[in-house]
Amino acid sequence: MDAKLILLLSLTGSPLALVALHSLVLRVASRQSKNFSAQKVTLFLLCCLNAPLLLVGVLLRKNGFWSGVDLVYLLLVYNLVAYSYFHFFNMSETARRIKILVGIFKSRINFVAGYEDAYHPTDSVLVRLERMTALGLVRRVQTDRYVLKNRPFYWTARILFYVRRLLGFKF
Amino acid sequence: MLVPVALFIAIGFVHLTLWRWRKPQQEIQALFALFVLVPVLLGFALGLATDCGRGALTPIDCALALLLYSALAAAYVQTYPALQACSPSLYIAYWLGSQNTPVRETEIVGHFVEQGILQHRLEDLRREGFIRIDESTGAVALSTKGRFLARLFVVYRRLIGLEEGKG
Repeated sequence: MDAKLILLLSLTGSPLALVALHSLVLRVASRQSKNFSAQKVTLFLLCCLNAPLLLVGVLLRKNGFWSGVDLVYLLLVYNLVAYSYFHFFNMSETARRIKILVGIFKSRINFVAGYEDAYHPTDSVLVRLERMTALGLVRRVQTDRYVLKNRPFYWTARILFYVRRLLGFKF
Repeated sequence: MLVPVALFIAIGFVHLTLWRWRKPQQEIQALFALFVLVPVLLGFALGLATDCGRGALTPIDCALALLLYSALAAAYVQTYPALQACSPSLYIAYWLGSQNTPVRETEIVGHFVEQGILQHRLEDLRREGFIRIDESTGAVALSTKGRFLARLFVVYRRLIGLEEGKG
């Protein structure tokens, strides 16, 4: 089979393979511990999958099937797909709008007034702080205070807020 | 590999210009059209009219180029909601990173409640056409695409073996 066709088929099938593997890993993780961080497990899994891809790519390159460009292409597209998948997963985990849609779908929210009851802003912030602590992005100090733990995350936030301003949104 | 990256950057500039000039009412749909439909149709038309399938580029090369472009576009389109809705997690990181001293939990919560950053999402959903709100009774209902999206996430969470996200 053509090396490029292998590349195309493996990358096109990667989102489905990711969902299947992710589902398996999360089920194993939930059996190991009830309080595991699903985001941490997902991130770890997506990063780890670079290793077998790199190995297969290097082997194919050594045997003359692939060029260096093919290898770079493979890793680039995989990581973009993984990034998108992580965002999709995060949306299912944290997105406010998805939570509202699901709330209406499951008839928990039937009226505009019911929205406030089903969705407490305070709880939402606390859940986020809890998740960010579990992911090692922030650290809890002196029982009720927080500091930033992950500087690159701060810079990511700065860049995204800059893009937000470029797009004409108010800060 | 360069053509899809160049195309993505070019579409990015168009997106920036359009959004600064006049932000569309239905941002997600406009973004989808701009980053997905337009380039795919354009690429398909150009591919048919030029090299693709005539020897210089094989259909597999064209498909690989399309795949790279789609991966770039998907990554951006997935990032956009966090940009547009001012993601609270990013906001917390930005805020904490700008402070020299630890910040109280109550201060963080109070800030979000006061700014109303976590509210008004219903209005966003209505504007994007995911829900309908009956002005007289205040009743909310999902539109077809809202129902599709909600079902997609319900099925997805079930598939990966997790309970509903906590928001």
